[in-house]
Amino acid sequence: MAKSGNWIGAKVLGTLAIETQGLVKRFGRQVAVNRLDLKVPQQSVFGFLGPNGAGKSTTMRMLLGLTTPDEGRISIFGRDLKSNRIATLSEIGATIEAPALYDHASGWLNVDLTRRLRGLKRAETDRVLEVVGLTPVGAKRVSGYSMGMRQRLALARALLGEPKLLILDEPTNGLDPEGIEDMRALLSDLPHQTGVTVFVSSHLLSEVEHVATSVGLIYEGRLILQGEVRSLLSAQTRIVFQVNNPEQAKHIVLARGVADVIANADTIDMLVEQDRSGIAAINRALVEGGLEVSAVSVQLNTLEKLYRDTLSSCSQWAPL
Amino acid sequence: MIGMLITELLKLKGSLAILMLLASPFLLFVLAALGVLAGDTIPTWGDLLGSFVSPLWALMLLPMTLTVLAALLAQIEHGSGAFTHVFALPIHRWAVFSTKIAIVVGSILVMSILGFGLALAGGLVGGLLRGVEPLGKSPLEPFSAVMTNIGLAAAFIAVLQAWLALRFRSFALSIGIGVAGTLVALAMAMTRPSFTAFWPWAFPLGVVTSARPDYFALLGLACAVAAFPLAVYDLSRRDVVA
Ligand SMILES: Nc1ncnc2c1ncn2[C@@H]1O[C@H](COP(=O)(O)OP(=O)(O)O)[C@@H](O)[C@H]1O
Ligand SMILES: [Mg+2]
Repeated sequence: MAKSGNWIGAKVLGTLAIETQGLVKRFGRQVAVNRLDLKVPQQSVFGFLGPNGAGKSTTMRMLLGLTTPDEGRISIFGRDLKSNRIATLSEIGATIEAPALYDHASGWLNVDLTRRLRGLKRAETDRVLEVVGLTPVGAKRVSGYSMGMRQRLALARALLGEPKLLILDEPTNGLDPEGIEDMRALLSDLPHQTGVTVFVSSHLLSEVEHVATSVGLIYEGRLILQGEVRSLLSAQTRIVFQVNNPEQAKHIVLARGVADVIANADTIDMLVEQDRSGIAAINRALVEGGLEVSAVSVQLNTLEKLYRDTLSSCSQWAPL
Repeated sequence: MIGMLITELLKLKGSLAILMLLASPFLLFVLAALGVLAGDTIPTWGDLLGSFVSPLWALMLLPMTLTVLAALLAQIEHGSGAFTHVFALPIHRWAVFSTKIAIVVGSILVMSILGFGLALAGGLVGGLLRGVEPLGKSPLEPFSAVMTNIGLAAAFIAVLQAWLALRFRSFALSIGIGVAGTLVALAMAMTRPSFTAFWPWAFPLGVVTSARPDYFALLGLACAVAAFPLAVYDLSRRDVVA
């Protein structure tokens, strides 16, 4: 009760969980992160997507104060990271790249060492192990853990102390399909349960598309696209009408102000705002214009398509 | 700070570091026993501990153990990329590094006490097996003084090796420097004993070879005290790469 009151109360309108301005990180001559302006809303599950080497881990390292940015600012829950590092980190749980675990120690000890450094009660260790389902193997040495168990252990460690922000770098790497499903379920439940914001990276869209409420797409260090999944997807959609006279149909549709129409052998297709009444109106206009409409197909925008389209347009433009 | 020390010590549970900590004092036991058993004549305590056990301790065993221990301690973090995790926690980097270096320095104390006791025990056991006892006056006071001075003189090696081991991911580098440092110290001992005051890995040796053991103890301690904050500062300001 007090807990949920806490996070709702603390949610200041307009305050982002993560905000970066002009973030730059160079390694020698290579620009690993290039003028990044991230905006991660509170209580979102933000999927930070990009191919390998795009700069995801480097960005996350900067968000955790592990790496100093060459340029730019980072603010987390409205506070400047640089001047509030410790206070900010106390609200964050994180896993970066491969789970960094002490192989010679037990799973339980691995979590408990972090629990001690965070100054939390001993019961927290048992709680988070329970959450990720590792209680039965807690006493075993980590050297004998599978990759999936290691990922879960790292997640357990990140959950210590119920952080307000989880930063998870490719948490599904090395998991089997079942493990990926478990991780998904856990991630999508967390924001409702505890009000946490999840910033999760992946190079595979499929791993976050069903849980992410917002996405950011990074390519060669640049943020190509970001926003709420809902608004990114609802922007435009492609519709195909099967008609007996495509050329005539094209004129009718063009006359209605739709710009992007292509006439094919027995179909026309076009890009329109994704809204039902608009599609119905076009259909009516075609019928009233004396055409036979034999089929309509609406190709819904998917994150998958957006990701692919954006990436392919980027690589065409990528300077060499 | 205490909490962090306990955490760091708990982390060693099940690692090789504990073994290292026990192994070299135990070697003193073996050396002392052999020293009594193998000699043509029965050595005095002064010969056994002063001229045989403590030079080996000062020149080889203690510096090498510190080298390996520092590498092991650092490798626990480097090997698993754990610094990335540790430094994403709301704790100060300087506290983490101070604790690590302090543990390496503190291991001198543990090993010296163990070594002291085990060397004496070795001498006694050797005598028991041979049916004699090393001769001469009680070794307790001079031997404890020598072990203390060696320990203090080695404090700088501990800080240096911990610094190197934490600073560079490759354990080959810090171990290589430790070995080379010790070899050079050995060469110095045989050729230019007066140079020992300028070579950190030879400070402990100075305790047993020079006429002024307390000078080397003080030198090691002073250098350690000066180097400690420098090491912590240097380690803390760097980016955490892995
Ligand atoms: N410590 C480093 N030194 C030099 N280059 C680095 C370092 N870390 C990352 N890079 C480079 O920066 C780019 C981005 O890497 P990274 O952030 O790990 O990408 P991602 O996590 O998206 O796969 C890569 O080209 C990588 O080689
Ligand atoms: Mg990465």
